[in-house]
Amino acid sequence: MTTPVSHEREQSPLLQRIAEDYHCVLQHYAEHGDPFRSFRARAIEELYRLGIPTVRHEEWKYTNLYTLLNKGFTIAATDVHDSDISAITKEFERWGHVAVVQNGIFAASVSEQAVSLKEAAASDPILLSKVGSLATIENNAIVAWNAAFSSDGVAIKQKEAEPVEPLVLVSVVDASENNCMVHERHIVDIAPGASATLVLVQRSRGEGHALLNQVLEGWIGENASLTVLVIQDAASNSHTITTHEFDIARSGRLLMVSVSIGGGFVRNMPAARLSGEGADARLYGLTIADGTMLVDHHTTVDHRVPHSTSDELYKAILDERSTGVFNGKIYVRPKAQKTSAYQANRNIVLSPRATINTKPQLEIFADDVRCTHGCTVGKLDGEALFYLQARGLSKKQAEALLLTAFAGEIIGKIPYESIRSEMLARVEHLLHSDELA
Amino acid sequence: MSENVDILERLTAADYQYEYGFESQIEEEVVAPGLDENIIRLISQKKGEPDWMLQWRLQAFRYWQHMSEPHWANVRYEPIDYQAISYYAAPKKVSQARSLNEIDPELRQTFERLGIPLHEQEVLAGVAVDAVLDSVSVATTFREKLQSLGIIFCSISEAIREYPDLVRTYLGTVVPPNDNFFAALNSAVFTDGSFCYVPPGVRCPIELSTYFRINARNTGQFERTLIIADEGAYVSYLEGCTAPMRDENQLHAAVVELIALKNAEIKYSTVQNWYPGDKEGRGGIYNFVTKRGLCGGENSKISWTQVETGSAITWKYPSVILKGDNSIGEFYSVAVTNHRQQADTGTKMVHVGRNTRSRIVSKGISAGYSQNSYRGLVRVNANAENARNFSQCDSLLIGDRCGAHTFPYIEVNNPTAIVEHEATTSKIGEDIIFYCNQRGLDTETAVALIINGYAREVLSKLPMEFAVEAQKLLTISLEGSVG
Repeated sequence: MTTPVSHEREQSPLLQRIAEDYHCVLQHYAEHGDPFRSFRARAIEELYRLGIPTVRHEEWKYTNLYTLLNKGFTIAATDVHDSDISAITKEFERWGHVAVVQNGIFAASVSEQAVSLKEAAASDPILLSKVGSLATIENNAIVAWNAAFSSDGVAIKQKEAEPVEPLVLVSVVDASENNCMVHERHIVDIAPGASATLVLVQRSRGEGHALLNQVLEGWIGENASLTVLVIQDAASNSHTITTHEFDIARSGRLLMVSVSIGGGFVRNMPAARLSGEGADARLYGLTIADGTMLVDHHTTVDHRVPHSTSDELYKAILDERSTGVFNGKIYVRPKAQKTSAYQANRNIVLSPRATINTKPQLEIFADDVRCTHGCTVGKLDGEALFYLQARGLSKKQAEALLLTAFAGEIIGKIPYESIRSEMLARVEHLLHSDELA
Repeated sequence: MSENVDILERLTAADYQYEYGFESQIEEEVVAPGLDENIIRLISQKKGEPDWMLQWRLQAFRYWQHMSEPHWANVRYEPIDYQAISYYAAPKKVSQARSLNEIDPELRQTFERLGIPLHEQEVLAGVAVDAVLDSVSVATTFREKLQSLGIIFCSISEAIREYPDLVRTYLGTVVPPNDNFFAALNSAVFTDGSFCYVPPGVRCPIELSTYFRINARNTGQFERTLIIADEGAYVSYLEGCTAPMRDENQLHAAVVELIALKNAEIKYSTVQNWYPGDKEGRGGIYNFVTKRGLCGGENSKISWTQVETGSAITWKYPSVILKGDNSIGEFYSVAVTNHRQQADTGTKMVHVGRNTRSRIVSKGISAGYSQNSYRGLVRVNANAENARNFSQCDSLLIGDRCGAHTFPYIEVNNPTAIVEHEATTSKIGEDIIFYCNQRGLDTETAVALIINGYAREVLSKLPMEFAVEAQKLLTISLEGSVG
């Protein structure tokens, strides 16, 4: 299913640089106790073998990682000044309990559920064995890169069945001195019958470019449910590559809503593995891009057992010179009869210089299934615009209204009223402002 | 209804065998296997080609040497040894047959067994046939009538000799020799194929047709087809293929180029029934073909229709480059895979001109242990104002050991474009089967009926003679897959 990338070990200066960085951090990690040591060694070998993917790699055909990496990133300093954490905590406490990870190191948490992954893994061999077992390093250079460099993150364990406040996980990247790259890793474990909500946000400091390579592995137990909201609204010098992989047990539920309205280079790779009967995955995403923004969603839904369901809807509004990419894969394994999978991708292109590349993909090995995907690319409906203009709205107002309605379908999937109305207001503001449309 | 009964009889008969699996005992001239510049010189010399053609081939061969075989398709096969293939095989007795009576009786019999009695078809069906056996074009019927209209329809070797200017102007303009690995190989070693030129304003009154057959052992078939519809012209072209049953795999790497100038229309239909291999997947044809059409002028139209039932592996994407303003590209496909067959097929629609439109209808049916993939590209370039595309890809699965895959690529660089893609994958509904059962049809007949209905949208685009054949093929290919 994955195509191997070419060997570029010898010729790539990038890999040489990564090797140098690796030796630096390895020493540093060793001094501070490193529970991931052997995993790290395997990961760097895999990364050397694979190389950093180029556009010749099928999964990176439309997203040139090198335009980003050529900016030159240094691996984040591991010594962190936690001066501004209280400000960050304050900014997000309206949404729930805040946990902060700064330059890849667990910094603060107001919730007992969220603890430092490094510390938890050092004393918990079961947790340690879970690291890298879902988002595997094999044939995945980005995950291998993360595994070689990440030293910490958050471990979230949800045991209680009672609903609790959302946990807001803020990743801070400090790029005040130079362009900075951070690898962080999180583990989420939802016990059977429990439910939890996770909000992921990113903030960067300073004028330099900040790149976050985030890997999150989540296990959703039987009858458990997890809601993940990914709010990508950072400034244009913030860049994100996320790998969020979930395993869903019998009758488990995953709801994931991504709102990508900010950042420079955004690549999301959410994956849901439906490994228990009755498991359900819902992935939704909204992209509003302008400037030279690039937002790329590569989703994978893997139906492994009979009677599982999935639903995906990704929408994008692209203006100016922005680029949108969507690649949705649905696998239905030979035994996964009675699967029901739905996937839709809808795009509106507003500017002659914006680009959309989309590839909805089905790979089906079972016959008693119902799988559909649909994809559209277009402009706003002329008749709808005329209708609104005939009722006294200006063209701009009419456009903004229609675009807001288009975007609102995704925002409406957010199950928390406070976050939903705030995001809707922000989307409206974005679409009504003169910069767009 | 009688047709259905006929199909039913064939279905319920003992194991259905590949009907065209016979081998003709014709004396053939086959050159030793292997590929180097000398072989290319030999082919060129045997064909009596001018020097520019030889140089063109050699250049293609040099490109090919620097290319590596692509492996991105969703198909699996043992590596091909390109030095083990013989690149030229020709029936010995046929040289320059002018009329049908001149050709080898055994050869004529071969074609009769294939169901294309040349003269009969000439008279009754009004179809002009260019039959290609292995590497050589054997006979072209109906030529004089076409000539009176100014239509040139002959083998490509003949065209190279007799109409070098036309061939030189257009050959390789749509599929350049360095386009891809198999196109480069074809350009270097192609031995025959059809050439058709329809002059301005002429509407070709009959369907033109080519029948391809691989007969000799260890040979590859590399035919090259070039069709040009000049301004305001119209031509409909049919292509059919068969091969004998063999345990080894044979390579078929053809190149088809279509050129439609201003206001011209080309309709290209294929019923591909190469030997698919036996039930265990032994033998069969590797059908790796590059087909591409260029809507060069305003208001031009190219329409591909294909029914793919044969070949061990089918790997092809009949494409249209919509360069002229208001041009139209169409692709209708039914691909059936059974047993261990693999298919990775689809189309590319590249919108370059303004107000261009394209339509893709692809119906995949997988049964047995087969893998059937649709792979398509719809690209709207930045200057292609008001481009419109609609794609529909449906897959039907029969049995739980086969696979159906969809890989649509959509690249849009213009805000005025409207692109829609829809795909569904499902099996035949039990309620529908039940409905048919209730009305006295057994399950196999019901499935045949449903499949025919499912594929009708595509089959209805085929010319009459082919539609009947295609419908039968469809049912036969799925024989034994309904449990």
